[in-house]
Amino acid sequence: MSDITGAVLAQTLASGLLWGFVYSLIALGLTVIFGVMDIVNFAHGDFLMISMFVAYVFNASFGMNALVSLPFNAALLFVFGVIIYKVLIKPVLTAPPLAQIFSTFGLLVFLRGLAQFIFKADYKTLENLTLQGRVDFLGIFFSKPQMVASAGAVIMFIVMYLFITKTKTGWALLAVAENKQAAALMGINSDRMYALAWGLGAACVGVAGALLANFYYVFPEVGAVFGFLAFVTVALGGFGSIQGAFWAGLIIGVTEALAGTFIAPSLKYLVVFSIYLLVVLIRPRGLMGHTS
Amino acid sequence: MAFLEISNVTKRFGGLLAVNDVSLTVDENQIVGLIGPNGAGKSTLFATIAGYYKPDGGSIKFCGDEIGGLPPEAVAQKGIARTFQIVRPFGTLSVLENVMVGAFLRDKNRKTAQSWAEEVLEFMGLADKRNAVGTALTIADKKRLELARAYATKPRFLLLDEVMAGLTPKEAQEAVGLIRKINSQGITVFVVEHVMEVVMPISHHVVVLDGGRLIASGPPEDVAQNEAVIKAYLGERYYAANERS
Amino acid sequence: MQLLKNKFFIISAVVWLALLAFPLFVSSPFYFHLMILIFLYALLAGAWNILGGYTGQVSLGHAVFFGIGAYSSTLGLVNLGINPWLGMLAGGVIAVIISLIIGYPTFRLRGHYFVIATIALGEIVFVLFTNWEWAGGAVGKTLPFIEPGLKSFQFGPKAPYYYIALSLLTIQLAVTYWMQRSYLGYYFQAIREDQDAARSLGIDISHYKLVAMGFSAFFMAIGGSFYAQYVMYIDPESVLPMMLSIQVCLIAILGGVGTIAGPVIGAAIMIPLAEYSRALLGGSGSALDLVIYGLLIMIIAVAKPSGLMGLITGK
Repeated sequence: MSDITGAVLAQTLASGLLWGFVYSLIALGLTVIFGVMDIVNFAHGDFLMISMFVAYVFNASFGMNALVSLPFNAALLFVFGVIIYKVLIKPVLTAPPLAQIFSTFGLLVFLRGLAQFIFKADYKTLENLTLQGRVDFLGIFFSKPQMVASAGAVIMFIVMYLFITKTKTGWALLAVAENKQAAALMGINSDRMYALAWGLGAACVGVAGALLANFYYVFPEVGAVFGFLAFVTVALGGFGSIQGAFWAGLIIGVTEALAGTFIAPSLKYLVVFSIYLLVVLIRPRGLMGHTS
Repeated sequence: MAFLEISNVTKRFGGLLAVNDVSLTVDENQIVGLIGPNGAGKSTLFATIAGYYKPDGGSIKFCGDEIGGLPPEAVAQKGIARTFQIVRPFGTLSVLENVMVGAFLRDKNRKTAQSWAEEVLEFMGLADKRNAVGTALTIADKKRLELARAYATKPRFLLLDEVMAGLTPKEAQEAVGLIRKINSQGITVFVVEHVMEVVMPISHHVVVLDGGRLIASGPPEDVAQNEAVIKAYLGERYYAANERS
Repeated sequence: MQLLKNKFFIISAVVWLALLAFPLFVSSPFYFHLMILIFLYALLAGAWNILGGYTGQVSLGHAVFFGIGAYSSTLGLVNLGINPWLGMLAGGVIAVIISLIIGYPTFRLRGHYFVIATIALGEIVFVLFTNWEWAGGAVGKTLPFIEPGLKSFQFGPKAPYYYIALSLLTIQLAVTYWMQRSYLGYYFQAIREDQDAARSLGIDISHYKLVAMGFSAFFMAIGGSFYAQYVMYIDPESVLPMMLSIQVCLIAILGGVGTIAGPVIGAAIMIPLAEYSRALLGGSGSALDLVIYGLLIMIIAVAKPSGLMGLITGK
């Protein structure tokens, strides 16, 4: 009996971990934007949705594997993020908080409606993927596309971490995040940094979408759950903390999997949402965030 | 029983001792000035009295009641009103509506609160701007509004946080006139200020902080001559240089 | 200022009288249904507005209270045999109590943390009701057909529902109008504008946020009970979905947050838009709505946060 439970536990942990990497990556984009400027992108999940549909379109039209289209996804989403910053976010930076909330909220509604209008509500999958199947390691099954996604996530984290901490542009971003006026005095253009933050944040989600499309359904509402999970992850890890997003994503992934297996699949999101509430009420700055 | 009695109040932030064992008394109907160089702890002491910080040690007694550690709304309810260094008008409300928010503290009836608010506007010289929206005012008028709003709560004690900042000399003189006018109504005023030329003439009593400690206390003329005060503002070497000459 | 108020009153009175007379001249069920929906959503958006528009606490999980209202009166009727009017009142009270329990810890959160918390709570309640067998679970509850009449809160024709919906809306508007003119309205707006400045004037912000929350939850629940009695069937999908929370919020924003007429105008525009696009385009119709709403909301956020009422009054 305990053998079986042990095997189930191990499998659950493995799946949870692999999903956790994906959550981390999605959360990475959100935390980068929030770290640099105090704005929450409510439409973050829908950026993911866009990226997944881009991958779907490339796949359906050109038979492209999602991994091949990944650079396009990243680039497209980067541009999209910058455009959204210039058109929607910049005008509301000085507006009351209500207007800031509405802005990305309106974007959420718009994007979902647009996707539904163009693609209809049904679930789509990518076809003819070269990367399929599972790997059997010590009796635990690891889905190949998920492993690639996890590797991709880790790579993105390393890249972003190095960029932020080791390059001049990265330091400029940190400076603007810390103190906009002081950064301006040092000659850093905060407007460009904000645009860059949005571009990078969106690009991270773009990568996540391309990876996710390899093994998950593509549909207009897909942004809803993943977006929310991203908020929970960022809240747990600490708004603005890259390392926090990484570890929090793994924790959320594992917790969700454990709840799904050992409590009930229909209740697993209950557990995750409750985590968000507990975190913000008890330790608002999360695991690794700074107090504002 | 003293009007306001601050006894051995201490406030620290992590390792930094922002307010260090400060004791002072304020008598009723006075205008008391709190001065000191930058970083002396004036803002921290101010915020602690107003309820935004809890003192780490010591007590603050207002007319015999302990108010140290009370939240800001409780402090206001006790009769202590305050203004903010960076003005905070209720942006989308009109000048009259802003003042009414203050008036409602003592009177929840709209009609009577409104007529009191109109009186306050008259008193503060804002009557002609009663329908202007908060965000549309000049800095000087915003400060006037902040004063009016605080005054409308019928306080016994008014805390002013660097009211003169950003005002032209003429506007500063008008502000001084308003402060005197408020004081003449029986309200004790506690003025935290940077601009010495303004504080000294209007205060009955001046208190000086430096590095979190109280270094002088007394009538303005005495404090202005005080060795420790001059050193604090202008440095040891200046004092030494001028002493010699 | 006075003149505008009088103009406003006169227009409102004329519109209200026209609405009273409406059933005498119209008999098409579709138009009745449309008007009933407009009244209902105006009521709901107005309820949301008290907390979100006036007090600035944006909730994206307000469907919770709508659902509590719907489930209270329905379960009261189906499981316990209680008269639906009593059930409606009970639902209102239950919603208020739950709103206070939710509000007490979450109002400590500021800005977007609060918003996300409301989303979390909305989803938690959705999952709970989906798994609660006594409440019907995912299948929901069908209301039994009883002898129609005012006492049983069931009617054959649509006209009675029309008048009840209009009455409920009128009550909510009257309460909101009274609240806006009283110290509550001023305190709520002060909290929205600047919480610290409000506290410095003696306002206990937690207390007043809860007051706003209570009013808001009450009217959401009333709307929920009405809906249940009108449609005669409820399930988590219809009374607790996040989409409902979003719609209610959108209507208030479009019409103009923090105003009395805003939610009404918002509903008067959005509901017909939604119904017609659904009638014309089917499933895509509801998607097109979202595209238009989303666009409108973004434009409002960037250009005119005060919404349509802002355009009308020039604020």
